[in-house]
Amino acid sequence: MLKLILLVLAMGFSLSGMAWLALTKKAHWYQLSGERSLPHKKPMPYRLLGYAALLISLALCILADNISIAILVWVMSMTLAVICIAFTLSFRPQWLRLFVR
Amino acid sequence: MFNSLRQAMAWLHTWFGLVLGYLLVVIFFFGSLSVFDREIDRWVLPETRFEPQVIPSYSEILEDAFSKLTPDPDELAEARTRVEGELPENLRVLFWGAYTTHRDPTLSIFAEYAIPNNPDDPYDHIHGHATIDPRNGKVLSEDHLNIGSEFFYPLHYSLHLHWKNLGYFIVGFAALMMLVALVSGVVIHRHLFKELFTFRRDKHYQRRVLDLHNLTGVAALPFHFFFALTGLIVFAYIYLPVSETLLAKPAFEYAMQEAEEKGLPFEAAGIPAATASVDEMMAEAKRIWALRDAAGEVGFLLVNHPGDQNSYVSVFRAGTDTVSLVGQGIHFDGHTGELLYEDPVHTAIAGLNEFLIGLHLQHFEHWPLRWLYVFGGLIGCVCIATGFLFFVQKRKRELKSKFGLRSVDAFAVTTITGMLLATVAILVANRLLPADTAGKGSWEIAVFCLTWLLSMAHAFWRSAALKKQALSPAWHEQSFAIAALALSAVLLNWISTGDHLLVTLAEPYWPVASFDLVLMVVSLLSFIIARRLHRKVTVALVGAQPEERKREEVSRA
Repeated sequence: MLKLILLVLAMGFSLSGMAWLALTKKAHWYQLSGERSLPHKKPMPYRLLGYAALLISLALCILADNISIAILVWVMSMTLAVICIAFTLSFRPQWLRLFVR
Repeated sequence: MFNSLRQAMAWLHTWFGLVLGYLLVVIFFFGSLSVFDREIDRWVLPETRFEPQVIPSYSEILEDAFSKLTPDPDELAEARTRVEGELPENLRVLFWGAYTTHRDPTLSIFAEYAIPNNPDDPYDHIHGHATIDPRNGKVLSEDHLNIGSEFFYPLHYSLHLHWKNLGYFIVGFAALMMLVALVSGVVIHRHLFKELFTFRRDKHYQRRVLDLHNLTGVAALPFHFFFALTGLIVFAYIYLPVSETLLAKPAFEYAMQEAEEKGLPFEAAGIPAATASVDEMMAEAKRIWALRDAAGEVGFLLVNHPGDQNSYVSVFRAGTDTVSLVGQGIHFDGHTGELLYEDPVHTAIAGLNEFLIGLHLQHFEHWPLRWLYVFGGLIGCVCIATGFLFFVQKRKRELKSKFGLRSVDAFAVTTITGMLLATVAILVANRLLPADTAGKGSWEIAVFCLTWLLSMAHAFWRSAALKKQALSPAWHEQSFAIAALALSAVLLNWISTGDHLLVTLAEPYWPVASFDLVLMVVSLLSFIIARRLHRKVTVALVGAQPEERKREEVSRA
């Protein structure tokens, strides 16, 4: 059960990480906020948050499984996360407001 | 010829992608199904629907099952042509083996037999194989086809073309070209990271298809790259068989030297001797693994030179919790039972090799990762399919010959919906044909091939409509057929075995429950897609009518 919780959390962090990284791109920021340009102070904190979330996701995968399996789970979770965020941005961008302050 | 590297790469990416795209979709699709090959086997063989088993007792089950093994009749017949004089009635056994994973209720056992009197090869040998019920040792009928592991899985890596290993080479070439397509794709993609999350659904069709191609290609780039690469590594010994050709002699000498260093007899002594308790050896191996803080089950058992004074038994740990298939071999003297050799921790290169092969063959116990693999495989199918749909769309106006356009479209229908149709058809055939039908497996394969051929004929026939509209009706018609057949498969499973979803979910028996659920999802999605495509075709036709009328009027005038 603990393993499952760790893996769900890892997936959550992968999704969050990719969401923050996506929001550092002008086109996606526009999809979410309707603003043509990124606010001056946003990209760096979001980028850092994004990478940190991905690293936490890796740590959670390693806690859940043997390291060789953990790496595969982490890489595949990021693939799933990219596809999910891309489709969310395209169909329901407002869902990503959760990640913006 | 090309003004820039990007242009050259674009040419390479487009043409190799198009030529091998159809094949790669088939390889990726059946690879995705192979992730759950054992579970598909449970669905198609109701007599094997019981819990996975560990390797059974040697004295109670295995010894008897091994001794009843016989050489494969085809291999035996072929061997007779290679030897001088007659072959003896009973061939000497070189080894007996048993292999299982955490997903196998049945046990695969096999043997190697020495072929004497071959003037060209003193170490000539043939094989024997059987599948048993490890609970009682009963041999399971070889007449039944494990559709998952014996049909879908080999289709993924050999296309069932066994002549001169032709299928392996075709798939290997496709995998190599997949790597080329990935590298060239990265070179020609102008905004790899900038557009990582881009799917512009409100843009025109061609843009949407290209976005989807880029998104699925880049997001799953590590998956695509490593699966194409490791696919090549798994069968490297077929593509570059140097240890059996150019370097055959040194390879053989090295194997002998290695066996001597480990104290594992390379050859039988020719002196009969009793075998010590193999069960105790397996128990001892498990105790050693537990001491190393790696408690586990036996995944692979080898009894070398059984019944001989030089006999030795190798016990390998199942790689359930690691990416490697099996490992940590412990070797015992078969006659005395004493410990002969423990495999050392592997070198970095050997470890990497095991990781790369295990990554592809996935015998580990990790259900979420297994589903992520299926996701990666299907994303690969989307990437390749959108690649050639983009190609067709872009060149539609350039394609002078109507036949060319019709052919490309018909092949696309055959590859995508036709392949799905053949896949659900073989499952329906499996449930419709009585279990005792002679050659049932061959009938099932015939239904699969025939359905695929019929879908191709249908796709060509219906592509005539492309003269008037942008979409061939074959797409939605075959999608309707997939929806109907997938649902029929679920219902037929219920009727023929009584295992409907309420039973399998309540128990729970996941191999059958989840496969039924997947079939229902496939049926529902196909139905939704078929309806949407049908509506598009109808709208296009209605929309085209005034235009056509106008054209007719102009021509009359």
